[in-house]
Amino acid sequence: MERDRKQSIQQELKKLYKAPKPDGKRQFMEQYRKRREEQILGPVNDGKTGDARGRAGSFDRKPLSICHMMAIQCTYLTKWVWVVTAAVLGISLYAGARFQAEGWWAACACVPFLGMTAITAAFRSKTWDMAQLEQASRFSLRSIVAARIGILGMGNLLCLLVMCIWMNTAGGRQLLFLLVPYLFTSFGCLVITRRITGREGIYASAGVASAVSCMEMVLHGMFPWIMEKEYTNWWLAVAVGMLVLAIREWNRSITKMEELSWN
Amino acid sequence: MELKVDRLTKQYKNKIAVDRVSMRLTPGIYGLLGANGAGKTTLMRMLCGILTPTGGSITLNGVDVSTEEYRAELGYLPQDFGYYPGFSGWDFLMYLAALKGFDKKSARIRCQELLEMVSLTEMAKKKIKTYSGGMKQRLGIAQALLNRPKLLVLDEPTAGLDPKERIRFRNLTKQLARDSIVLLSTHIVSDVEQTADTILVMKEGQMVFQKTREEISEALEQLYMRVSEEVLE
Repeated sequence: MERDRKQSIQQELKKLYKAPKPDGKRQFMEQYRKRREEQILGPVNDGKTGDARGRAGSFDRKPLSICHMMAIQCTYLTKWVWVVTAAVLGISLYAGARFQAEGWWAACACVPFLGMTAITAAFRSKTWDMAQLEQASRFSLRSIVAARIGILGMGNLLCLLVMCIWMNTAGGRQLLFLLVPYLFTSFGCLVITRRITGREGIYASAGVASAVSCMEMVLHGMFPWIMEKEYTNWWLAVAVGMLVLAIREWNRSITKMEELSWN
Repeated sequence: MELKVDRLTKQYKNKIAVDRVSMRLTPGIYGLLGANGAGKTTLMRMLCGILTPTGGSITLNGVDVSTEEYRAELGYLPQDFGYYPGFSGWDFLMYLAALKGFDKKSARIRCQELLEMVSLTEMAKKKIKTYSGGMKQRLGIAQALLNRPKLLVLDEPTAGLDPKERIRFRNLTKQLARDSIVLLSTHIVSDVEQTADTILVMKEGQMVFQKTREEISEALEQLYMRVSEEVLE
């Protein structure tokens, strides 16, 4: 009741006393905007005590550490990296628990996708045309890519070790069986990301990972004897060879970065 | 404050993209003109440390271009830039602020300020893929100003901006140029005409013209055509 009465009084008063048109509103707004812009664009002090107006919004001009950058890159890794890693780990662990020795091959077939996501995520600046903006920041693009690959590589290695421990079926050789497809895919994806820019590079890398994955399954089905102990040295040789090729390709990609943005 | 460029050269196999360019820039607006392929973008990329020069040097107050100290004072708007899929305008600015050395609290304040300045506050949380060309360009301008740069390099900054935004941008550049060196490259001669204190013209990798506005008596468009032809002859 009381509320209705107040509302009706307010309406009556509005009718009786019309609010005057704002005087100089435009000038005021213009002045405010100018002052605000001056504040936003104004000079900064030494960066130690906030900005020139004693507020936050300034930044530290001291050299930034590699740990600082790794933390930034860790936060901004694409969610697909985590999804694929979780899926590969989940499938491998489940297959290992369910099918024991046979499940091992499911893990080997999944591993190429780990390599693929690591490489495409590390070089995504070029894929999405962010390279120039990142290069003009406090860090070089090389160090940004190196930080990403460091995080992803360590994460992947941890995954491979977890898989090995979980499916302890082939002694120490199991790590080799995982590393060979992983390094082979990484090498292939490095070649592709260096040559093909844009989304096409991601699709081609996914193609490489799928091909390696299929190859693993075919090898297991057609030539199961290659898993015998006497062939361990061959696996080791292939793993070392792949590692050398991947490192060489990595160096090429990093060297090429300086020139990538030139038209 | 002084940006010193000394005999800067960039060579790609048989092509010399930038040929022994030397200049000294102090706070003010410098309009860089030149035809396509004249070497403007290559020069700007070298000034931003994106490309390594084949020869020569770049220093800002004696600090070399390859150092982090130099980059801390740099703002760069490339001609074309992309964004990570899924990034909103806010994510984009926060990411670049982090790379420029801001802590989270400071970055938030600075990003809010800049989004307000480029009139993108309401669109901040929307994905960049939904932005118009002009909005993307304004976002690009905002990221270039994150660290209150002393050297601001703008490659085609007004591309995609509507006339109102273009005027606003000119005013912003004028304000910035009080304390900073602003180098802007554009094909829109009127932009340079109304803002630049000094006009630079590049042709075939060389800096063929460098004069202040006071020293130039004719219309800029005419001057540009004349300078280009003179060099050709």
